[in-house]
Order: sequence, then C-alpha cells, then structure tokens
Amino acid sequence: MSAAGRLSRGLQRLDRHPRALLGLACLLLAGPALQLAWRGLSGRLGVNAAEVLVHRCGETALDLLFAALMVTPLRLLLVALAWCCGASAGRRAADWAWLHRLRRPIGIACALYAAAHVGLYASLDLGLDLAAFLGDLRDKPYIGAGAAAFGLLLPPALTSSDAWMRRLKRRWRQLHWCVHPAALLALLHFAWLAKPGSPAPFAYAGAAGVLFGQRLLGWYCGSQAAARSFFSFLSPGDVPCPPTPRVTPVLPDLPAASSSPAAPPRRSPPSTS
Amino acid sequence: MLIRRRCRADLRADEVTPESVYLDRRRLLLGSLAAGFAPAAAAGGPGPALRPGERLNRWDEITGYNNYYEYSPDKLAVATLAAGLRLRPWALSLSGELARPRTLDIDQLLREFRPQECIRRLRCVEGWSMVIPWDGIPLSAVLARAEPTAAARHVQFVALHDPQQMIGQRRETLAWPYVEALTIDEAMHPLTLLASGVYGRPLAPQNGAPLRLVVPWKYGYKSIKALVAIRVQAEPAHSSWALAAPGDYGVEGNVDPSQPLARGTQSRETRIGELRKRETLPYNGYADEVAHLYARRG
Repeated sequence: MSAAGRLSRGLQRLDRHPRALLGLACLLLAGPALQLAWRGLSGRLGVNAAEVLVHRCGETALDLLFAALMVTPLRLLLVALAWCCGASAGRRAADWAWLHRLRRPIGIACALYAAAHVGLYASLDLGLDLAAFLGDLRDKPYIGAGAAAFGLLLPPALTSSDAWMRRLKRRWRQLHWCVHPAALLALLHFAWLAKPGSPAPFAYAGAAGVLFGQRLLGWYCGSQAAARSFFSFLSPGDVPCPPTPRVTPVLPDLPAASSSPAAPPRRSPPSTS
Repeated sequence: MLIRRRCRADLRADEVTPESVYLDRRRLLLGSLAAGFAPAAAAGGPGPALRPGERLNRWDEITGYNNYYEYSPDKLAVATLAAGLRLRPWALSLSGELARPRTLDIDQLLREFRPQECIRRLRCVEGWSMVIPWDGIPLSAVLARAEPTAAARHVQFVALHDPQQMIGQRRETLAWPYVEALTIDEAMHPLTLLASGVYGRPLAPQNGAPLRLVVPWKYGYKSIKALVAIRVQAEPAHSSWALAAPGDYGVEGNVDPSQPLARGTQSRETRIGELRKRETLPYNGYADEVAHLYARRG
C-alpha cells in the first residue's frame, strides 16, 4: 500500500471514534480562548489589551466560519487527491464523512467567539451605551456589516441541535444557509476596518473566492457533479474524477452509516452547502 | 578619585526613575507652581500638567506600539524594523519665508535650544491615546530665531525619505516622503514642540528619532517623525494622509469628538494601559490653550 493510501486509511479510522474526535476538536477549538485567558492572567496581553481581546475573538470567529464552510470543498479535494495519488482508500466522499462531523462543533465555537467579540466590544468599547452603539452604526460602516453578520450567525447557532433539526425539517437547511451571507458580511466587516496596506483581507478574500467559487459552480451547473469536479484538475489523464458509484445523490447529505458500519447512526447533521 | 560621568544616552532602563516617583515629583512641582504662577505655567513653561486620573505611559508602552508607515502598518513590528536607523549625522533645514534660513546639525540644535520636559497627550486617529513626557523644544523658539517674514502663513514639514533604511517606503502606501502642514499660528503655539527625547532619554527610532514634531491638540498623524526639513511659505502646505485619502483625513486634523474621521467616530479613545474607553475631549483636552486659534470661524 502506498504512503498516501496508508495515510488516508489511517485518517478513516477517526470515524470509528466519534467521541475522541469530538473531544479533540473541542480542545483545539478552545485553544485560542485558553491562550487569551493565559495571556490575560499573566499580564501579557500587550500594550493595548482591549484591542487584543476584541480583535483576537473576532479573528478566531472569522477563521472558524471559513473553516466550517471549507468542510465540503475539503472533502471533495481529498477525494480528488486520493484518486490523484492512486490511493486505495479515500476515493469516495463517504470515506471522509468524519470531516463532516466536525462542522457542528466548529460552527458552535465560531458563534461563541463571535458572541465574545460582540460582548467585549459592547462592554469595553461602548461601555454598554446604546447611544454610543447607534453613533458607531452611523459613523462606521463596518459596524453595520459586523452586526448583520452576527445577526445572521445567531439563528443557525441556536438551532444547531438534533432536536431543532427534527423540528424544522426542510426549513433547517434554509435557515442554516444563512452562514453564507454571514461569511461575506464578516469578511466585509474585516476588510473595511483593516488598516490600509495590511495584507490579511486579501488572504481571506482569496479563501472566500475558492469557497464560494465551488458553490457557485455547483449552483450554475445545476448539479453537485460539477462542483465535485472542481478539483478534477488534480486527477491524472482521463480518469473521471471522482466517479460516483457509492455516493448518495446529494453529496453533503451523506449519512455517516454508509461509509463505515461501525459509526453510530445519524450523528452528522445534514449539510447546508 | 575617579569620577566617571556618563552622558544621558548611557542610562540603563533600571536607572530611570520609576514612573510613579517621577509623576509624584512633577505633581508636587507643578502643584506648587500652579498655586502662584498659574497663568505663567500655562503660557510658556513645560505646559499643562496631568489631569486627575491620568498617569504617564510607560517607556515600554511608548516604544512598543507605534504607527510608522515608513516601516510597516503593523504597530508591533515597527520597533524591530526601525531599530537600525542611522541617527547621525542629521540635519534640519529651515527655509522659505525666513529672514535667516539655515541648516542646523541636530547636535547643534540641541545645544542651542535646550530641550525641556513637557508632558503632552497624544491622540491617534485610530482611537487610542497616551500621555508622554517628551523632552522638547518649543517650535516657536526655533522659528523665531530664523525670523519668519511678513509673508509667512503656512509651514511645511518634511520627513526623511530613505527606502534603503525605511523598508515601508519601498511600497507606495503613501506618497513619500511623509509631509505635514501647520499654519504659522499653530506652529508658533507654545504647545507645539520639536521633541528629541522621552523620559530624559533620546527618542527611540520608532518614536521618530532623532527629531519629531509634537502637536498635542491634533491627531497623531500630524506629529511628523524623523523630521528633516521645515519650510515656511505663503501658500497652504500639504499633509500626506490628507493627500492619500482626502475624504478620510483632514489637513487640519484637530481632535474633535463630534466629527467622524478616518472611517469612524472619534468620540471615544482607549488610553493605553486602560481596558475601558474614555470620552475624547475637544482639542484633546487643550481647548483652553488653542480654541482661540480657530475662534473666528465660529
């Protein structure tokens, strides 16, 4: 077996340990908060501590929002890579279902960091003064974009549980589609307030180009197959990439059970992409 | 007995008076001064004292958080990038509508006009502020000795342009060199300083060494760093940020909490060292001293 094959087979074992995977994800997602707390308690938040707190929470929320949107394209990319490397495992989207499981914790962590960002801004910057907020809304266009992004992020975060998923049925997907405009508004918020000459907004815009490009292509071609072949440039020669023998018709809706019999039934939420 | 004398530059950080002690001494002196000579202190001397509830910012705060686009837009990177700036030889040219235009060597300037400790608030247009004990010369003294003519209306300040040393100048983020503008009345105001040091030490490169302007009632972008030329002229002078983004920055740049500027409200500021924001004061708290300069406009 090739190295790529061993790697992808090893990664698929993650699917058999959903609890360990979730624990690991929570630990990683709490990392930025723990780091901030440690820096705060040891007095190492830097010269402008308030700015560091507000900005770090906001940047982490933006990163996680993009990470959540990256799950589906990453899955397609990994399938294409597995074909490209000739790996025996990982050629089906279902092989990467465990990636999908990470999306809910990422989304919730994103909403929590965004809430911390908004809370710190409201207490440290505004002093909990509504008039000051209205003044900011009038004078700083990026405040409006950020507030709208947060407003769009809240309903999906609050309805992320299985119970809400059952209760809302098809509406759940429509509601969770809100993360797309929220991501664009958050990016606008960030780009607007970034200092002239700083490169970070361009990096995020590049990532947004890939993420939304993949979705737009799928929408324009009217099928998931087109979006799936987004990464077909990776496949060698005329190998159709990736073929779809055992992939259920609507890709992101893959139940985890189809990929690995050991996985508990229906733990991954239906996709929003 | 050997008496070893060190010049100011030899001071180590641990030898400098702690800020709290330094502050108490100033309060004591200024308090006693204010009792008898309040108008004199406001007009000429070291300038207004600290307000209650204010403290001087520490040396590490002043030297570790700097806006200096000649190096980088990243405030935390500037100190490292600026570390190697050559500070000698350095000349300041005074030209234009002057009876005695001249080019001064920096050391000659500091011998001729002895810098004094002057506490000034610095308010950045980004929404943060510091209180800094500059060692400065009133710009009015330097200009007066060069004798401005009757045609002198505006003053153009020009900073060092040296992309070899200032790597931020290799990109056209602004039209280099950095320039700034004051009217002759603003330039002759006793609050306006040419600063050469902080806390009794020579300026750090990231603070604008070896010589910078300090105009405390205006936003920080008006206080040009690494100053090499002052030109007194009849026609209005240019301001780099006002040239780069005329909608966002004004040439005048007075601190005005009621006027949004640079894509944001200016009504609040973070005093470095504090978590919660404070209200910004008109003219950065120097309204009593400078409001009359702008009174005719109503």
